[in-house]
Amino acid sequence: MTARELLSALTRDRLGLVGLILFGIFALTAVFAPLIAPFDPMQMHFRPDGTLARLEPPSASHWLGTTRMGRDVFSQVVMGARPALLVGVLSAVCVVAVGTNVGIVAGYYGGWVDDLLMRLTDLAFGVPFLPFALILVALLGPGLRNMVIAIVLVMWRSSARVVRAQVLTLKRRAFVEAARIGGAGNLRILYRHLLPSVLPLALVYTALAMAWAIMAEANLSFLGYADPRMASWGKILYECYTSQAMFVAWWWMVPPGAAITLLVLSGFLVGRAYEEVANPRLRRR
Amino acid sequence: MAETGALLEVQDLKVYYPGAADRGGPRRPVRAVDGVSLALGEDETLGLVGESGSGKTTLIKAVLRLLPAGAQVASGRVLWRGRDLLTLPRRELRRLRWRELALISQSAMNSLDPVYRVGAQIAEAILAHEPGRHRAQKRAGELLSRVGLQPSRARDYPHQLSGGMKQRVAIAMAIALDPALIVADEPTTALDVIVQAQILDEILRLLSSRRGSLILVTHDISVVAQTCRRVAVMYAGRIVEQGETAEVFERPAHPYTMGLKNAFPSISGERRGLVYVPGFPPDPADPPPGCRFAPRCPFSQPACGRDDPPTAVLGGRQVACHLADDADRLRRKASEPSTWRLRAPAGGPVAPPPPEGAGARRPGAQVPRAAGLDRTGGGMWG
Amino acid sequence: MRGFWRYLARRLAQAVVTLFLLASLIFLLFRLVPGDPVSMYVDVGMTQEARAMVLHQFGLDRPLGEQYLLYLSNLLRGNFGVSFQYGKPALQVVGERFWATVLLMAASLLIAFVLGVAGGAFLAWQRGTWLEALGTVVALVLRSAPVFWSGMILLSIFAFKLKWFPLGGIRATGLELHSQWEKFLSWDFLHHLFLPALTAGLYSLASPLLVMRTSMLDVIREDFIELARAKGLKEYQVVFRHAVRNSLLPVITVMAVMVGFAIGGVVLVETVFRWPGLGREIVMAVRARDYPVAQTCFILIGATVMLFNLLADLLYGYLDPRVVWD
Repeated sequence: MTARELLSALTRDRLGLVGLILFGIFALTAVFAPLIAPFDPMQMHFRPDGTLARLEPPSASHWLGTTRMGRDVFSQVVMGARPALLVGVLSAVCVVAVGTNVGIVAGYYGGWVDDLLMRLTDLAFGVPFLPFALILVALLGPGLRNMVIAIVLVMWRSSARVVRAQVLTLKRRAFVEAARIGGAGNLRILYRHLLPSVLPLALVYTALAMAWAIMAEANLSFLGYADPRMASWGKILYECYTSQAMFVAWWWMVPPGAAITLLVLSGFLVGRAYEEVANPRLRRR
Repeated sequence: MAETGALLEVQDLKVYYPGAADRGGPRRPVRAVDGVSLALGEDETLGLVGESGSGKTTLIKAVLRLLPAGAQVASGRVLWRGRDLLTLPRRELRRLRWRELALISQSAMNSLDPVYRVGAQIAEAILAHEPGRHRAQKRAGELLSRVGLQPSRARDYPHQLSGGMKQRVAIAMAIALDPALIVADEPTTALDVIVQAQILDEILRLLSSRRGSLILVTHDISVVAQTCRRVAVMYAGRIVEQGETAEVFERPAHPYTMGLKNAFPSISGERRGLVYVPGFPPDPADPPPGCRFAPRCPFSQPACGRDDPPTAVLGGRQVACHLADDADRLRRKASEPSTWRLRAPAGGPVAPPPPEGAGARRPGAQVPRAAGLDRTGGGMWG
Repeated sequence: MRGFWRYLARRLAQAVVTLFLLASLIFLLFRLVPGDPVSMYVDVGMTQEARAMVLHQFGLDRPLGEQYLLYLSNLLRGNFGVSFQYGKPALQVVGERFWATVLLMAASLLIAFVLGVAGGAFLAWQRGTWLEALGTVVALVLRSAPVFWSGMILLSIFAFKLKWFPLGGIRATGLELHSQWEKFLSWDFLHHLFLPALTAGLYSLASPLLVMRTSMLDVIREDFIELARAKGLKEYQVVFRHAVRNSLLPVITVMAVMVGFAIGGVVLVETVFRWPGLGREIVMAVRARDYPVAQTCFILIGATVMLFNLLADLLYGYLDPRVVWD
């Protein structure tokens, strides 16, 4: 499937298009975050009388009000797009790269290689993700890199299983046989012939993995393991929750959660729309 | 055509499905049933024959008001003892169902709910109309033994029964309330051939020895010849000929019936080569003008491709053909194989070549046995 | 019936193997990670004596392979180590938490199942209308919303503003318990359970809902639905007795798959609602570096997932007579 076909498939499905637009908005926000945010997210603001402007409701100067420490919520939410997308995109690419490789190798070679890799996949499916990631990040220390490591270590499992199933059916097709008779080596068959055929499927899983990874980042940040150097949405909510201000300062609580929801939703919408294209059997009836 | 004493009377029924608009043209409805009239008396057996796609199943679903969502009755009435079933309030319709009109559906295999015991499913039909759970269950056992199954089978789930057994359960269910009419939609198609042969007689004996009427929908005219007193032949959404079975098959008056008869070896037991009707049925979304059969008819005249054929009454028989008066001559010519050689008839081009895999839709194209015009789905459970 | 017991035995054996692998994973994790493994087992506040005892008990003074064997044999004997925070055996600390989590999980899955089945059937019925599109979007939004955030919102509205529900915890403070049963069977317990269970349930709602919708659309085209109608059954009988009943089966399959996903939601919900379960405990234990407790929670969370997986599979077998236990 060419890039243009992919794009036209996505735009034909109205929800998929919405997802694509949402994602685009967030991507632009992340890129231009410092230009959009009116303040430094960590800057404390003061009232004219010199007191800390804590828990100010939305106003012309602070569109989404201020936090308990007098920081600008809007600026924090805008800057929060960066760690979310960074973790999301980075993890998604790694997850799918690992999963796809495991899947095609297991499916293509079969035998003990397949057995070993699939038992490993089963094991990964048995791991409760959030507790695992929590422990790992706590041991390795908070930070984006360690979050990505935790996510990739577990999440490769779904794409591996699906890609393997796909390869098992592809293997019997004529073009693989033809390539082999034509003298192509295993590696060549794997990456020149099989990989392009499973790529559409891998792309579905990239969109979904991105959604899950962004959610995982938010969850871990909310549990207190956010990257200390960046303002992430989960961390904003962690501070909002632990400061007990959530019952009075809705402007502090609602926007970061809405941002997570919309960004994760964009991943699901794109993945879902694209899945219907990649897998015609799922097409809506 | 208000016959007195008719049990069921279908008047000018038209049922359309919304068409696909994939070829970029305007959305044209699929005219599955396009102006059908027929009548059925008490204790009468009627065979409804035609190729698949001729509208048989749609017709009976419309009669039973079981059309799928989207299908639409464009016109016509379905009178049951004089009351229109199509406009009957739901409550009354529900009371009428099964007590008066029962159904053995096309794939009796799938007409049993997989998660309930078969006895409970028979009892459910009884309980929908008369109270008494215990009595209904007892009756379910009796019904099973009437169709040749052990009453203890009532405790089995459908997947524990063979295809033939499920078929018998479906029959037991149909006769449970001794309805005035049973509609059997291709009751044996889904069975594998050997079981089919074994069971067919028994099914037909049960259904035809019963008092009450029967509509047997099938593409197998030999079954109709054995079972039904009257027959209606459908082609492309219309009934082309109906009358007494013996008369229709011995002296067909419509060229399509003649062709159909040629495609079957053994209706009258004579041995001769099989001759098929060339060409394909028309696209129901875009039927030809005039007589639907004209493009394939070896006798077609210019008028056939222009005007709808009038319904001629010949004795107790109705024929929708412009040339009905000339039937005797046509019949003689129709028995010569050369008549059916493919040619470009006056009515227009012969239908487009079928898409790949559509061979089964050609009438008689694959009739190695005397079994049927088409066998879509047959033998799948073999 | 013999097949069933054999099936159950095999599933339990599989569960034991998986638990063993999870325990090994956590062992590896604690030792491969940079830092002094001893510090993970030994609290800084311990007396020298206690310290030596723990070191010896866990064999931390021996080579890695030996440590691993000792660790496993300790686990088999139910010795999960001693909590640093509570000074009690970890298993004893976590025991009651396990039931709190199991009950919360059960309630949330029940809510997801009931709402999913009803909502999915409704969407199938509304097929092609704007309501169906709206329902699909709502389901996806519920899955996309971080569960701790929806918990905070529900808490603000229904507990803080409207005061319909308590602000968290598992029982009212100062409540006198007359029996062990009352812990989990009282009105007070249900009152505390409702909001967290609803939050976690809504988070898990999307899969059963969307699967139910698709499955319902498939089933209503089956011949036995047509026949049920032809029998003269009332419409609600056709829908509930036949259509919904058959559409349930794929929903249960997806619920079984979903349990692993739902547990993550439960961990967060417990934290937000201060529900004293495994999830809240593991978060606190990790924060307090109470590794014996964290490790015990981790293994028991794995066991919870397997328990619900098994329950879902058993339910499926009960509802579908075609299932052969084997």
